[in-house]
Amino acid sequence: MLYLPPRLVQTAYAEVTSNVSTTSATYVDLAPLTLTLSTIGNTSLEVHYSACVEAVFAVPNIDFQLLVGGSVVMGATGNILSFGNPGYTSCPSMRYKSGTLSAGSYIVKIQWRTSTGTAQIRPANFIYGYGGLLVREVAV
Amino acid sequence: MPVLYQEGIRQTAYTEITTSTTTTSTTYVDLLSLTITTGANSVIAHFSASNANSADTQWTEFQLVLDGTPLRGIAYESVSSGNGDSGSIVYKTSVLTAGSHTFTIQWHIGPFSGGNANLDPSSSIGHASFYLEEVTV
Repeated sequence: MLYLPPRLVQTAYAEVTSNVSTTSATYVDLAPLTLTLSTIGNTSLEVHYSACVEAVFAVPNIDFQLLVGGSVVMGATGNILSFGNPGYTSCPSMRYKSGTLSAGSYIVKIQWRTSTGTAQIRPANFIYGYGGLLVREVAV
Repeated sequence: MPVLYQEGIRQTAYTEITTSTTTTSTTYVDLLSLTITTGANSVIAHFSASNANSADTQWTEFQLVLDGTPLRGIAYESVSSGNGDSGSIVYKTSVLTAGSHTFTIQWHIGPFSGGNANLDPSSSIGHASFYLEEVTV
């Protein structure tokens, strides 16, 4: 019998569980959304990121970028159309699959910035204050 | 030589809106639902939607519900009537008890702007899809 590694090797998940905000116009870590995976090699990483972000009395573009192993691999933006409370949100998302990776430790993280004002994700206030990061190591 | 793959995904389930669906409700009502029988494993839920609103500055909210308990949600706004927006959820549960579990997507519009939210898969922008996978890793 030949035992092969599972096609879905592992999954890791992180989400925003307390209110977070940024006023930074340059990218900073969206702190809860960092995952470190030790991979078996000859596999890929699939990344699924979804979020719902608000602005505070501003109508910014709120940008996100995905980093794998220290390199930016993808970005997404959410434009806030008007300000107020509640409902003035945007829900950008990203889906990514890496090339074949060698065995090792890989850090997958989300960073964010805002063009003006304050960007925030508030799970303590609203069920739609949400940011989730799922990483899957796959052998296919 | 026989080949044995170790289990990583035990099952998947999928549903989507197939006909134009509208709500004027300002409280959550069911949109999509899947019931699966799982082992003592986690389930990853993927949901995405894109819809139009009939009123200016109207917003649409969705929430993911597991066995009657709301878990996570999204909300987005259309700047003017006829426009829309989109959003998605990805969520991994903790290890569930083995047995039957119902995952539901509910939605409603905001209470102030009136009108309706419409998911029309026959249009170029409308969809709502819901995918579950039971995973052992």
